Amino acid sequence: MVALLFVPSLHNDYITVTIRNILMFAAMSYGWNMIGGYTGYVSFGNAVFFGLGCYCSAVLSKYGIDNLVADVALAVVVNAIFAVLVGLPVLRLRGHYFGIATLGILLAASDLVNNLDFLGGSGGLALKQVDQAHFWLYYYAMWLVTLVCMLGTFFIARSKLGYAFVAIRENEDAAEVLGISPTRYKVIAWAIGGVMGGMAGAVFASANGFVDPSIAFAIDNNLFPIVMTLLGGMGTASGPFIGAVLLAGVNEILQQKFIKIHTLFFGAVIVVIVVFLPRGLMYLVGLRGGVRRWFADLRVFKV
Amino acid sequence: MKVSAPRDLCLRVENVGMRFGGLWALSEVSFVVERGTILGLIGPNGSGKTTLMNVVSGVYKPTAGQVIYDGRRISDVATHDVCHLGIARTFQVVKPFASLTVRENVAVGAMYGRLGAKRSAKDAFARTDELLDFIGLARVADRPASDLTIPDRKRLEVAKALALDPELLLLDEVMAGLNHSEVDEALHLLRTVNERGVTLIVVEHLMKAIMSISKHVIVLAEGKKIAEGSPLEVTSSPAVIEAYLGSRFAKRQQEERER
Repeated sequence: MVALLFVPSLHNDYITVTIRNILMFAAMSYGWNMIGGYTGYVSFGNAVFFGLGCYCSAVLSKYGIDNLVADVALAVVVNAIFAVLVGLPVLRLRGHYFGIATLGILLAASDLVNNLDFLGGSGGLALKQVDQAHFWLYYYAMWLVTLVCMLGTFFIARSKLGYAFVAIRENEDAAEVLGISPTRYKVIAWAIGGVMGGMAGAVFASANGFVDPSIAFAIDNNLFPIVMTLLGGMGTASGPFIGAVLLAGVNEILQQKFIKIHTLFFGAVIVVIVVFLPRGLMYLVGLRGGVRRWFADLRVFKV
Repeated sequence: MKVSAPRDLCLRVENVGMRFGGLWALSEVSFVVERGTILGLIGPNGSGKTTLMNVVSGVYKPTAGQVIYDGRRISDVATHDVCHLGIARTFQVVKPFASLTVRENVAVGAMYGRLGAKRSAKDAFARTDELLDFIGLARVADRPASDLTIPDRKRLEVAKALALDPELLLLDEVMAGLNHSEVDEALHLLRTVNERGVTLIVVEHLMKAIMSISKHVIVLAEGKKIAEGSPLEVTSSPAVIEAYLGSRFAKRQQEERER
């Protein structure tokens, strides 16, 4: 992470943008990890937060405010409010219904923005022209957002809040009897994750100079963070970052060399992870007892 | 609604009925539990013991009647708030948080239980370490809960409940599946907990265990209370013998006694 501070000094725009995108996906993965990894509620609509963050920047720009700090601050507030309002009804649902509902939220938000003239409809909104001389600024903003997400996750995981999330994931009934209100803590996790995705979106929109619904609510923004977190390790503080670096890195290379089949790669990765690494790479790092223990645990997962 | 209750009364169950579809799993069950006592709750399989525990711990809201704890109706309280009033329970089918360590499992209780709001994570872990020592789990404190043996899982279930700092503890078959010496250890543990001022309701299949620990026993059969009294009284009650061993056996015993 510290090494990534020196990327802009290479003065290579391609590398800077590529790594900025990797950081962006890392931040979004942290967002998904909070609800999907810690509370175990798999969301298929977290891109809605990224998209909302994008439009926060776009709207501010429309009113002549082009300030990254303001962009991020607005995204934090809007996403937190949106997450609580949507989460209160939806997170009363238990299990798989939540996943289906989140997919609905994403599609509804995307359609809504498509038809709102105020937000440019399907034609999108142009932000202030990207300042090429200060290209590094967006890079550092994204770096900082990712760092905040990473450290935030690290400290939350060790706090009372983190234990409530994990207790809900492991056994919601038992958590409830221990005094944890499942709905309240699921909404908190969902809101924290939403804020993380929103911050990434706010910086991205300013750096990109243009947003429309197909960019803001792109299917990749929804799928990649899930796969990245799965690969790195759900419910860990380093997993999303490692997963994002590996997967986005490999994807970038594949996109260069094998443009036609690179999407196939993600499908294959998902299958391999689910079968052999259901707890992700971070699980292997902490593994004691070698291959034998690994296979023993795999059997446990099959149930 | 505040309902006045005598000071030494801990729990009052009034005409509680619980219906699932067309089946009344409990009907017109009433009893009281005095503070500081150990109430035994026995009954054959499917007699409604666990359902009753679920009603008292606020997991189920009763279809009829009411449960009053410390002058408050439990049925008005959300499940996650019942433990803040001072009621803790264990699950018959133990529910550990498998990926967390034993220590973390218990700490979750200490963080969110009756006194949890005042505790930092660090304080909760300090309280946890005391409890693990007391209950005999200190040696496996840092092992994942999924690695534990059956007796240790039962201990963990009790430790999690105790971490809530309860005034009333409901124990749902914590001794099932334990061998003789383990049952003796468990009984000793429960007595110690009780001596520290916690009122207990002990649901158990093992008659012997119940008889040795509680002076007052309630017998359920087919969702109804069929007997109540001292262990000796209930075991000699024809209704209880019938429920456990069938009507022919009860009749024969009755005849033998008359002879």
